[in-house]
Amino acid sequence: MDLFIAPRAGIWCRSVPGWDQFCAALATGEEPGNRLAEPLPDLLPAREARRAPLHVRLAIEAGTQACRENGVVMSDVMTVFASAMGDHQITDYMCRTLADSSPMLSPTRFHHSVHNAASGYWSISAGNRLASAAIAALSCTFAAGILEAASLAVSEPGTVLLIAHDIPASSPLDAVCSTRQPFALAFLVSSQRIAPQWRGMRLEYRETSSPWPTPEPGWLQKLAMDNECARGIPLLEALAGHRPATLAWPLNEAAHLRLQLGPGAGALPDPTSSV
Amino acid sequence: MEGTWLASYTVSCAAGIGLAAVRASLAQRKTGLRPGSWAAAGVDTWLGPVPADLSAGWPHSMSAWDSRNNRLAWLGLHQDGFRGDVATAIEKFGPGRVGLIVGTSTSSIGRTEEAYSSLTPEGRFGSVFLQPAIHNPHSTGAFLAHVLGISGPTMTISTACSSSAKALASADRWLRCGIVNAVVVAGVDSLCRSTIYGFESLQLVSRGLCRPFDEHRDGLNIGEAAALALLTREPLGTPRARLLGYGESCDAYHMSSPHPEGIGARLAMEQALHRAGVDPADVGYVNLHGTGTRGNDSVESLALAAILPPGIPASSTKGWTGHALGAAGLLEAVLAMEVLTTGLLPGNLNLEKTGGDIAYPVIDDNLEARVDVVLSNSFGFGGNNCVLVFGRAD
Repeated sequence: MDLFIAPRAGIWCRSVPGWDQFCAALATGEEPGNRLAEPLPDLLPAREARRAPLHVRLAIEAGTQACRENGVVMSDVMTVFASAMGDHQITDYMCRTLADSSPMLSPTRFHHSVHNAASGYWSISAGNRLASAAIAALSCTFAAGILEAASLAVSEPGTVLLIAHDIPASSPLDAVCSTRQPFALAFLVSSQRIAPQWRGMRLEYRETSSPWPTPEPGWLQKLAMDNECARGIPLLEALAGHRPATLAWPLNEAAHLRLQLGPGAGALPDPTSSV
Repeated sequence: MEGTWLASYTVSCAAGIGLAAVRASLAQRKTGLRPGSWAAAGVDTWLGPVPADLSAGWPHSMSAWDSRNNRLAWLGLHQDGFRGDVATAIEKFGPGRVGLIVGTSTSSIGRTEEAYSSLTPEGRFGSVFLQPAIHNPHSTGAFLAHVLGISGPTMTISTACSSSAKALASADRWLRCGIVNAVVVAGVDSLCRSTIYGFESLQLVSRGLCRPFDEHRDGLNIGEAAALALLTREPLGTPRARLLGYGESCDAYHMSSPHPEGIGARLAMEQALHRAGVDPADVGYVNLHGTGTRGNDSVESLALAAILPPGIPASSTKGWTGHALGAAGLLEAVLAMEVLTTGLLPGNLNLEKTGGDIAYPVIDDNLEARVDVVLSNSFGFGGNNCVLVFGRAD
């Protein structure tokens, strides 16, 4: 699949609140020393922002950044929300409450328990009525997210926003889940070159095994081990570095997704394969 | 002709295990719903459990994968020769050329609930519940890929009650993009405390039988189902139907109430018909989302009245199956496709008098007719909508 990807992305982790800070941190090779408060994205009305779960706020924050950084209107994008584990905090609340013999659930927390809660908040806050999916695929969640976003982008006119977001698990869920840090990223793809700076990107499904792509500095490597969605950081590094790149994400032991990113503001040469 | 083929499908739900049993229930107008008969629920309502002992055929060697949802998926997989049909596709195309998309809202959360109800004194999971593959939304996707021997792309779509309808739309795109040659789509949701007590907290659960579109309807009955389909780009064996189009939209209105004018539902229906190249007047049957809640049925009928000419037979089959949530999309897509094969249009169960707020009449008795095109509606929390259009295979 041949696509274009917006030159700037959305990102939030405990030490990096956005794209410029991410690029600056890459330049130094050091993790910024500050520890950020949880995001309260201004797309959500103030009252909603305080009530919305962290899992939702992370997604909205990264998605808002990706659209604003590239001058794309938030009501005009199809969306794919990828999260390996869903909202651990809500899962913990639901299961703890339900362990009671006559449980009384909060209706608000119940509707927050759907995997597409962030998608719903995005649609409502941005006034967006376009197609929106919420997906999961364990350790392959980021790869499945790109595959879904790309197949949507080449099948439909318009732009697709991929948001990947996961939050850490606390006890007892931490025994069955390895997410240890909050993280979200977001980027835009389209079958059309939306602006001259958008870069050519080719995505191929290949029936061979591949190792995981590894981020450069140690702190980003740690992040990629601590959050399934942070497996996508090498793509953000390639965007930030304005350089061509070939990346691969395993889908299982026998298959992977291969992504080629063209040079800055140039189309990918010689498409030899359309898939 | 251009299209995506339904090479095989099967359903297991309250109305029966496998297609023959479900067909018989539909023909006899025999509901699969039962008064509060699922052990773990203290809510006064009717439920739609599958009429089977899910522990009977479950291999003990698969304890790492054990959950009610995966047991239900396992049961469904072995009906109507489905597992053999998938094996045929794998043999023909190769395991890496077959993908898998599961639509589910609950996944294996029922197992996580069990783990929480028997925590150790230290507040940790007991050893039998230390199943990393189970306590996440992709549990049933990973399980089905494992047992079917699929090594193509695998993912779970979880958009509440539109999940497995959207799984069909994504599968269609994967096939058209040439990513794989075949996709197994599954809709699997199982009874659990989260959904029973959750819908109760929203006051959306009926104390009696659900009565979609009735004047006195007062809520839904929660069901469960395993629906599975095999989609291919080229015909494989004797296909059952063709997926002609799909429409996906959001309401941009509210997390748990539909848009009062049904704008999202209308957008999805319009887009589906447009993509299918089908004139609204040529639709022969609509399987409605029709949950039996005051809001959904009223709004859905408004959307129908806005898009379709009067007189097209439409009904909800939830009076037979209950609301199978994330599995409902594919379950009801199959029940709609069955109309293409059997010519039996199931009339809405438990409909005594149509509500005064219902803008598009639904059929209240079974009809027989040859039908060429069917529509299936699925609407979920978050205002997430998906509408599917199917045509005859012949």
